[in-house]
Amino acid sequence: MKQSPLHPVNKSSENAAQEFEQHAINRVLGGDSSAFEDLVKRYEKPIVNYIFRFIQHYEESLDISQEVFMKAYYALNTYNSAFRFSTWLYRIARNTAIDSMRKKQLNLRSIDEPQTSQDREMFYQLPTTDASPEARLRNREFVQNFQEAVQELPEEYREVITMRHINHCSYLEIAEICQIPIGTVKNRIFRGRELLRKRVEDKI
Amino acid sequence: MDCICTELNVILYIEKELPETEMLQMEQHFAHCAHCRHLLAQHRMVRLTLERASGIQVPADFSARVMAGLPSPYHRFLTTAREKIIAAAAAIVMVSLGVFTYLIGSLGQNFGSPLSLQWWNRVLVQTFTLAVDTFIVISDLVGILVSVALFLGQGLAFVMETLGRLLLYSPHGLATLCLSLAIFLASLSLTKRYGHARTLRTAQPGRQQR
Repeated sequence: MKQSPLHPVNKSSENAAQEFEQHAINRVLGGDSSAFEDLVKRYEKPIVNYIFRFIQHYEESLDISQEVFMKAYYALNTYNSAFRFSTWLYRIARNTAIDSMRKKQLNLRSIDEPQTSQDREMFYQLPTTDASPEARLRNREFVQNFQEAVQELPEEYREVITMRHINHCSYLEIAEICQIPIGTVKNRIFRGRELLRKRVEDKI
Repeated sequence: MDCICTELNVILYIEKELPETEMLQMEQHFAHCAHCRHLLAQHRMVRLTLERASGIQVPADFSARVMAGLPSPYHRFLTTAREKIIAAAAAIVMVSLGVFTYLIGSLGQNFGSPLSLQWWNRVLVQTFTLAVDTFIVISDLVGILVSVALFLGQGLAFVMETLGRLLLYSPHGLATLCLSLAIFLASLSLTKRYGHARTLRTAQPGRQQR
């Protein structure tokens, strides 16, 4: 399984990551704003991905992510270091995304519409590897169908699947961010994967 | 087909979330059930594809964009208890100084040199008068609040008395009283239950456990 630097399984590297974050936070609170960039770089991809699952619009997701980091910056003195920083940040991201959806009444994009932005393609980028266990993984059509199937999932499943499999959050962390019991988290992930398998099978 | 493999069980098997005995049963079943092997392969593929997906890409200048919108250095205002105490002490000192200089300024014109005994005597009297006036104002405010509370109390007593008369003298008074008490207790317990749950959820956003 690919390890994310954000959520390492190794306990010592996890502690090191938390120490790094706490050090950066202390520097920011001490007046060194530039230290906040370390935190932004660490979390920009997970946060943008997470928000994209709600908004389904690339540029809008970037704008909202930027707003999330701004909010986190201004509220940094209220962050309690007894808790995990990532959980706190995801909570801000979740609330901001939901508020934004309510305010702007965003029109969700059709899944048939190509998700491109000026000069780049987005979404899943499966790494090509010679040791790939399945020939289908190398198949571009399969990848396209798969990402469409993910987009078609109900929001509650898509959110937890993104957090678990793309952002590599633990079940407990997802439960705390979404404020649902851990059993519900697992249930949604497994149910989402069932739906995903069925939809991928239908499409192929 | 007599399959023990539900779709959920296959996922739980992949995630190693089944008890050891059931894991072994599943393995034995996969050995001779092509349908379940196919299901297993498909779910493994779904998991692998999800795990390998790198998600959407973020522009290289994203963090620079965020940083450009932030003020420098970090702005904060009275965030710690110590800072708040210092600020409160500073405010008290400033107010005291203001009152003192006001008294000196107003008295200086009428009572000559501040080096004289008369001047200091006058300052003390003025300060005492000011303190008494402040106390009177505060007492008046408290008096108004007490009056309002008494008025409300009397109103409440009147309502209770009327209610009591109605309950006791009506034919089903006792039954109505018991019913009202039951509804009150039920609503109290419900409020406690859900209020407590909400407090817990908001108070513990993300302990450091995995």
